[in-house]
Amino acid sequence: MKPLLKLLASLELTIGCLVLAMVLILFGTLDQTHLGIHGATEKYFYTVFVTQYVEFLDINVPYMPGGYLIGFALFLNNLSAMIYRFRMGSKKLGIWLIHLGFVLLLLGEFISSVFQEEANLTLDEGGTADFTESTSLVELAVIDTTDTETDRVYAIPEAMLERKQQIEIDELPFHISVDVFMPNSALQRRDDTAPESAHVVNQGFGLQYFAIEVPETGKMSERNQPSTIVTLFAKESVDGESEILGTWLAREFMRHQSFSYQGRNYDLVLRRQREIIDYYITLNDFSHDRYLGTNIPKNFSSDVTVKDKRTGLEQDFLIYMNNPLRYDDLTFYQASFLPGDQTSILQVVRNPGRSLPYISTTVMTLGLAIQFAFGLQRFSKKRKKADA
Amino acid sequence: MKRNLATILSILFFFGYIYSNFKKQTPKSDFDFDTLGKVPVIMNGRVQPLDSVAKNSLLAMNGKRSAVYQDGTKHHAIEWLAEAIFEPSAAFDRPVFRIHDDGLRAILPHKTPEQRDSAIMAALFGSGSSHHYYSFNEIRGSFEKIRRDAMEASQIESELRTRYQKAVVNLANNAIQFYNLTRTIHHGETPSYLDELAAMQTIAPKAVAETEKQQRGEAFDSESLQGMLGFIQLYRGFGENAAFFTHPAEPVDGQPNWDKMSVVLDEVTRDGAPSKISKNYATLTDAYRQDDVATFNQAAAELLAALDAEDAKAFSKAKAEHQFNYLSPFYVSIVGYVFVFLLAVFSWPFSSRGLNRAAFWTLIAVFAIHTIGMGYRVYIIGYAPVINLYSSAIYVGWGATLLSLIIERLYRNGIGSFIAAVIGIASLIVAHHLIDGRDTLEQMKAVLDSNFWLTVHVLTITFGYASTFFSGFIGIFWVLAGLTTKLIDKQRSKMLASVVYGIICFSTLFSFFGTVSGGIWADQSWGRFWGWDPKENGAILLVLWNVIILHSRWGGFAKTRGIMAMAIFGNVVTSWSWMGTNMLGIGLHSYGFMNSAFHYLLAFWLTQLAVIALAYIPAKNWKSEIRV
Repeated sequence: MKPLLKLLASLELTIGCLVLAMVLILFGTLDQTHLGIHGATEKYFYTVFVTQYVEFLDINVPYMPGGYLIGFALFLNNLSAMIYRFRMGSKKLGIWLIHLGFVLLLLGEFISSVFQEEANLTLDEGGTADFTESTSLVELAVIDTTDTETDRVYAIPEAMLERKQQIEIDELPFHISVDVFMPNSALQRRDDTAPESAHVVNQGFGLQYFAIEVPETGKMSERNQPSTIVTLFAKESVDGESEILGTWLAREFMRHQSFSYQGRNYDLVLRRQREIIDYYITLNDFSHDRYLGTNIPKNFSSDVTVKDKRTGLEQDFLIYMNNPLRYDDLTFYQASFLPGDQTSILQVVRNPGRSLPYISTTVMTLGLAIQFAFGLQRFSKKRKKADA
Repeated sequence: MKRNLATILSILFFFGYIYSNFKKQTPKSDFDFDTLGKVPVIMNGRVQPLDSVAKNSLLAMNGKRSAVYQDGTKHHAIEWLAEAIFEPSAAFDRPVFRIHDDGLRAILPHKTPEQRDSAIMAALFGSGSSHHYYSFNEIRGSFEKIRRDAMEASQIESELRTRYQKAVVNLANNAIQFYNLTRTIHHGETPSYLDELAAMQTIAPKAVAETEKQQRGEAFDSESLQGMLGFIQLYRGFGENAAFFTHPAEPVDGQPNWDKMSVVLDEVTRDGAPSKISKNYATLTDAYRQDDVATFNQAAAELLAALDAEDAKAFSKAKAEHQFNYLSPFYVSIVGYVFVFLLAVFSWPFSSRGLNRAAFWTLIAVFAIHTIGMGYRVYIIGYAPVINLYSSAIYVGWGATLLSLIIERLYRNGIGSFIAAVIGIASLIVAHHLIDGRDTLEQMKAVLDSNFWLTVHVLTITFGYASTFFSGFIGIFWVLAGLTTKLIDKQRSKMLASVVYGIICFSTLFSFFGTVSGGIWADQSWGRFWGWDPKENGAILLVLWNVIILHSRWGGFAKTRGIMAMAIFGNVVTSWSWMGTNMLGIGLHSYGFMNSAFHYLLAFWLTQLAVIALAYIPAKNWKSEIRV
């Protein structure tokens, strides 16, 4: 047992991990030109092993330790070194603080990587919303529009669509069977040359168009456009046969497709996964200032009103560059806008580990400063001795 | 006195050089171009003196801040600009468009390379490059094709364009910018600007009265309206072309606001008289065309005074920038650093305390000029000294010099001065190449808008770069001096090792805190601390490498030689973090994207690796006695 502990606490392991971390970060950065920041982060940093798909074996072969593994090794190394090697004493205070802070930093980044969620909120001037839209995930929404006052929405998350299972929702009189799900797709006009698979669709715009699967993208400037093909069939069966309502193609950014069943009207749409929030956000005004005589942006800002559903309280906020709105556990910051300067796009982030980097880096900076001050003191003493 | 003779002489030499360089900036002409050069205008969204408009425009067109005319004479930028804005017909023949691309030159009129006077010169320097320079009139005939090709090329992402496409887009932009400059002050359709104003003043009141009649539905004299309409049409196109804003105006929503020259039309129709500023510009135009020096000089002074009265802040900023241009602090600093370099090098073979002291005090003088130059930039932009890659290079040189001064003060052996000179020269030359034909005093993009954490982040991280480079260059010095000279004795080797260790501790602190403050800024503005953006990753690589060096030393894995080699590798890591990550063309730190220059970076890395290899030549082959 002892040699293992010695190895775990060793400086050799520290240096090995740090060198591997450098290599990993370098490769993870270079690959961003192909995969985009998001794609490279998932492949290199938020993973135990970095893997490469080998076609003739049909498996992903790990070839490099990933961010989680290196981070975990450093975490263990640091803890064991603290227990077995570090000495106590006021002179060692800096060292202790640096390494304690580092442990917290690793934990914080791990928590962020697992729990941090990012979404968008797109608002037209004068428009109001009480939901955010996921930047990466979609949902299939079945909307009961029979009641002219209020819609009832049944949303099926992407994870369920991916499993291509049959979905049963108690309040709906039909089952939803997911036949096809494409994480990213391109749309083409359906004609005689369309593949066989396109012909299963017999409702909606899928009669004119069909989707083909394309590789997923992780680039910031691009977005996956998922498609799905679903078949709806009645829950009640007559003689063991269920009535089939039809087969639809749904794709993100395409219009709602309406149908009626048993006297009720429904809309079917594939859209960005929504999360309802406890307040309404209204965009009063979006401004986009430029420097005189140029197109260089000087400032973007969104003047919003937040109305809390729980308390009825209304508050005004101005969101602009470097000045986000923090409300409940969400942070809204000015991310983008649509041409014409009428529509503002806010990025919405939830990060439960938000305070950890602050604590850890403060502790580490303090430790570094103390250590540095000790070093300078030792140095000047030596100089004095040398001069004397 | 004798002790300090070298110091006094070298400092005198340096300041003498600065003075002569300053004097050289004034064009040799009876026209008062100095005063004209101070006139504030707004171009590219910021207040700048006409001198900067001239220099930056030429820089974009011919890659220099001066112009060589068709007769071979060299002219200051402001002389060229005066001609372009006051008498375009002459400026159209000045060969100021530099075109290196053979394909692009093929569609332009053929120019034969000039013959050198002496065959030796021709053999040494080739046939010169005057055939690479074209005038507006020479381009004009092919402009339709240039415009079409440029439009086509601009649909393609700039990194993917061919050499021809890059050149044609560049030329089209420059030609349009030049044409706009010639139509900024006057449209050139009438021979005398003052006569034109006078004519307008006489017809305007009548035309206004007739227009009112027309609006009321009464009978009106269409003849007197016709004359006015001609002016209006002329001025509308003129206003659209104008390259810069000339008239301070009432602020809009608290934002400073200026008008273009075509605003005189408005003044005349509204108040019946052009403003002082307009009248002086008109006088300057006429006087320049008529070669009337006295009137020109008087109008230039009056124009400047009128602008001072209207917008004192713009006036003083433009004045400061004019001084900054004339002083050219970073250019003279390069010369100063070269001088320090020589003093330090010569102090060693002669073991001269005097030269050593001269190097140190001259370094302080150069450092002062370097600092003053950064101070000017901060005042002009109103923002922290680092806003783009160019200014970061200047700041890196400054930071390394500051550290060197401290080290030199402690050890007084010339090594600190020497390293400062090397890094100072290198960083300022790198900065010079980063200009790349652009205005380096650019406006801040919205995302980099002033913010405490951003300022702290940029300044500390860049100081981290400076200190890592400093330790890396000490490493190089230790290897090269140790291999080839007897300079590195036991005591010096020990001293250098402890300096490198100290500086690495220091740069760990700075690069760590710089990275962290970047995270804090990102969290405050975007709600997330770390985003794995290339620049962030570059910064963390630097921290990791410093941490590796420190742990290697504590673990006893690396002794003097190892530490020095690792410090040199720090140069590779730092240059990657600083420049390399910007070449990827992705991420949020897009303020300093570079398209090319990657091969320079690669060459730098190879030299660093070569020096590391040299460090591992067995100790018995070294001239100096080193203990590794």
